[in-house]
Amino acid sequence: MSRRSSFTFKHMRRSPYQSLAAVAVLSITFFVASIFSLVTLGSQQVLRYFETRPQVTAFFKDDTELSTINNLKRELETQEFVASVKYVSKEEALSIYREQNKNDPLLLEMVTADILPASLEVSGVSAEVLPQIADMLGVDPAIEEVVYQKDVIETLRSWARAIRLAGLALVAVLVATSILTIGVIVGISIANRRREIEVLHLFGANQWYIKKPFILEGALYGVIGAALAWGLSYILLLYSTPFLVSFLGSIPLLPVPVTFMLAFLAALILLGLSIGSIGSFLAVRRFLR
Amino acid sequence: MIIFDQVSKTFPNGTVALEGVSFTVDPKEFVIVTGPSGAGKTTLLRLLLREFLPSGGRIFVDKVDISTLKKSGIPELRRQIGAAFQDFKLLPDWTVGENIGLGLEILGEGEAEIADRVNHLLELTGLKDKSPLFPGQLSGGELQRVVIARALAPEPKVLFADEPTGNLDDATARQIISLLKDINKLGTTVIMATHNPRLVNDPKERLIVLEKGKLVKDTRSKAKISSISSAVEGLSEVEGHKPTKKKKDHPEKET
Repeated sequence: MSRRSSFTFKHMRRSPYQSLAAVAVLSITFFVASIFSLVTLGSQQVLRYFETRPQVTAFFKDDTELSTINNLKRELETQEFVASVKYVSKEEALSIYREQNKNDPLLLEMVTADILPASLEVSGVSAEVLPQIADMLGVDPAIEEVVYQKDVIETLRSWARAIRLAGLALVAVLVATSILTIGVIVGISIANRRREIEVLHLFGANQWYIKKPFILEGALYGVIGAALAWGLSYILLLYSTPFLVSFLGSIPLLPVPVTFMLAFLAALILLGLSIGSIGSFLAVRRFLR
Repeated sequence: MIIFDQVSKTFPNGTVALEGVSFTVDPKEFVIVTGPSGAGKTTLLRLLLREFLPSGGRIFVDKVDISTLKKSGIPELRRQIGAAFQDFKLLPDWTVGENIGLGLEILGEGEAEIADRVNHLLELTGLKDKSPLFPGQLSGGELQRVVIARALAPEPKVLFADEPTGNLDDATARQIISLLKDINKLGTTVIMATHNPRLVNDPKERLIVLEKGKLVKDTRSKAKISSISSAVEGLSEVEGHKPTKKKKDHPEKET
């Protein structure tokens, strides 16, 4: 680090309350932004989970031949909008039924494999293709009934979209606020060092020599704020993991992998660095012409 | 070489600080610029540092008309001129050592080089044990020495000391003048602005007297003074400058 860069730390030490205020405001801003980012990413994961579940189930008539079922399965597998097709025989349907109702013996007593239909569970590449798959299966004479979770997926999609939009809007507002905050704080810093800047100019310092410590100062506020926000949001996430695991049930979202959180830290620091640099650059342009 | 050729400066409020001032300063010369307060001594320094432009006339530093310098060329000009300001312009929260090393920092010198040069200057100016102190802990005479040491640190060709004896008692003032003469003997051109030329007390020294912005006396021989116009003409041909033209007055401040 050059001696001039070390002046950034010197200046920060000499105005500790100002530096503390800057870091606190940015930490809170980045904390809110990171929570919303995590919620948005989580909702996308939940949606993806539901989208990759068997989405369309076609139940066959009792007298349907296995060869008919296999023909239909093969035909489905050739379609590009179909992600996977799984055949569930009467026996497998019974074991699934037994598993789901193992705590209720009364429901298990009268049920045999004969009364349960064989079925095909078809996953689409996206929720949009579900009606297409359902229509294709519905016209087949061997099929008794077609069931798919159209409403659940649609609701989830609209929620995820709303969360993403709200998150983006909030992050945009917070980014603007952060840039403004850093701009104001660096502006105050420049005003406090007006005399020093004048002297530097008189002794032949060029513009970059004078501007560099201020831009570094803003960038540093951004990085520290981002790192603290990441720490706070990770602690919150770890603290609420038991509750979230029971709330989400079988959705495999938690625990969040450490590698993901490290990547998230890198992204936050990059964002903090960019916001800090932009904020201080704007302040320097405004106040150090 | 420094040439002031018919230099005028009128501030936006109408104050005439300089009016048609012409003189040259040769390399390694010791020049005393004197005159009462408001005569235009400090304006000379500020014009030389291109803090603002003259309203008329031209100023040459080493054959370059500094009025034609682009903004990006001003730092280079200022590195050639060591300025010891009347109001010191020391940074109160920097130590004496840091203040002296400022010019070297700007030049991007390494820590060891800066330390060596600062130590040498502390010794030269008699401030050997003052390096870790802050300006607020020094006396007037010591502050003046720090200001001179800081101006000398980047080894400028010219040292312009503006009222270096301003608020000092006679004994301390004479010490400062002696220091400036020593610096001059080492090869640096020294221009000293003072309202009290008696302190120099040396009839051999060149004296330029300003009054109300006009040059009223220059003790340099007339033959040398008459060479200004030929020197400027020569530069004009070399540099392709146009003859002096009255510029529209404006407050263009460069710092």
